[in-house]
Amino acid sequence: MNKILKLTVNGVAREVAAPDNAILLDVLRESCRLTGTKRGCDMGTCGCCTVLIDGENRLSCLTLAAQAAGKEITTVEALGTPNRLHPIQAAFSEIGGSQCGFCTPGFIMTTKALLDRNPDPDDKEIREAISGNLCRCTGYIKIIDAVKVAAKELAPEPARPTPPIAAPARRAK
Amino acid sequence: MTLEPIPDKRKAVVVPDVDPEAKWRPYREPLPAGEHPHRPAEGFKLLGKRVPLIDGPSKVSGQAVYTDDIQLPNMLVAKMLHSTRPHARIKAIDATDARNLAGVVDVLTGLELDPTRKFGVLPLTKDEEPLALEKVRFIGDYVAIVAAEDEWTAKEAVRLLKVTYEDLPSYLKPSEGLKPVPEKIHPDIGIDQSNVQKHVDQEFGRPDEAFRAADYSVRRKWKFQGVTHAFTEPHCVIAHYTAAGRLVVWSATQVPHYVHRALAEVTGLPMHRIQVIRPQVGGGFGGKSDPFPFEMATALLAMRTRRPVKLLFDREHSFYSGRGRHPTENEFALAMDRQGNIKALEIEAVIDGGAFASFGIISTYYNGVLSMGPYKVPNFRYRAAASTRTASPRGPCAGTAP
Repeated sequence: MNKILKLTVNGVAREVAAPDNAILLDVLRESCRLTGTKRGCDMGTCGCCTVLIDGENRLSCLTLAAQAAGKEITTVEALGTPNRLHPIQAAFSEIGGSQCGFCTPGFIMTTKALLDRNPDPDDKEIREAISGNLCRCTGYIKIIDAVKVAAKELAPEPARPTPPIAAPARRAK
Repeated sequence: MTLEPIPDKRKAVVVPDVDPEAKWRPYREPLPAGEHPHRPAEGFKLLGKRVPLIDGPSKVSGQAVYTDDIQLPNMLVAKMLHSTRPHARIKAIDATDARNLAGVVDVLTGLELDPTRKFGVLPLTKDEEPLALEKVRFIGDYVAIVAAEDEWTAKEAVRLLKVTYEDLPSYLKPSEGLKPVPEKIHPDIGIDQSNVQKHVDQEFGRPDEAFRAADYSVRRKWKFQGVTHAFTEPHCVIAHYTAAGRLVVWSATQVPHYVHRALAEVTGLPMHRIQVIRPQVGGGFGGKSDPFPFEMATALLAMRTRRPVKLLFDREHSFYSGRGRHPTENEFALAMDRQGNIKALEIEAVIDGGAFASFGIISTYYNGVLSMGPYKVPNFRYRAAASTRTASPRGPCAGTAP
């Protein structure tokens, strides 16, 4: 039995008819026709289906669409178009962090979440952040390079030492 | 037929791991410390520069279209019934319940296919069938395909298919296929009464003399367990037989031209009425280098239903479909002189080809030809047998050699 789900995808409020057990990945790909989010394994191992839910990177193949109702869902399509790429996308394209391209949207969304919470990650933090995403072409070196280049591009001012993750802005008050 | 042991006229002297007397001669003088042989190229327009992929921007923006991203109007969803037995004769397939399920449009089994229309990537070994005709040859073999209005109906219809199998002996080690077997995997292929598909015997120089004259020799056995490509995009194919009588197939393949040829052989259509489109492919590494049975079956289903049909494998069946690097049982012998020069190399290999030939003949030759790597080997002997096995077919994996 289908129900009407209210989703906010890439800033657009959508109403989607989907069964209770509909998976977010299916809803994004089939109902919203946002096919940038890829289906690699359908069981949460490859990371190709990574999207942002309220700014956090989440596997859309393991998320019920109903769980994402009322939340902000961001897919790779929201970041940029080929003529106006987001700095992360531009870095992946220029550095060669994307070859066959199938894992790329997942890596880009993971990188987006990483750089949003940690604008200047070191090697270890980058490796940890992308550990849930599998790439079979690049060997990861160029992906890590791309993340570093993107971090540099996005940095508003010369890179500072990494702020501790457990220090939210509120604590200063 | 078995591989006869190589007459061991040579005394095998096992080399100590490190021989202090051996004087190793480097192929050139080592560079001074800190000097790297690969200096960055400077002053060029392209050399030493990163050259972004021409389709990079479309891939990083999510606009690149892969096969599963294509959605045709009025498209049916296909699902496969895969074999649960490694080697069994198909006695009967009862598709009554599946056909009667609301939303099921068509069910195709091997029993309805023309048994003379086989295909294979190599013209010499056309041993593959769109769907298993008489028997299944590995767990995951393609038994039947269902087309339905939506995915859940198709899955339910597959569950409702009832297959009666008669189990046959299964062969799970490559070497088992060398001996005469009670039931050959392919009745019309295989040397004598064995499952051996190909024997290769190559030799140059005088390996026996070189081993006798060598200062050191070593002989070891290795087993390689096989690997799979694990490309991130699972297999996907869309077929549409248009009103104009043209078969259009979109497939996540590395070899659209082989698929084209195989489709012509299986469907009987002339080649000019078939179009194979290869959208972006999410990795292949050799694993999408064969025309696949499920591509043929989807095309046949599209021709029967006259509607576009999409088949998408899940990860599990992408693995079952195989074509990964061949498991092998190798015996290597190497003869060397005191200066560390290779004097002779001798290899005996039993190569597991899996259930179908695929690139088997090529792999069997390459296993020997490429085993010398970059070294100068003056005397060489290579003997190999590629044997079929009741397991996932094997094929090229980042090259065509085990």
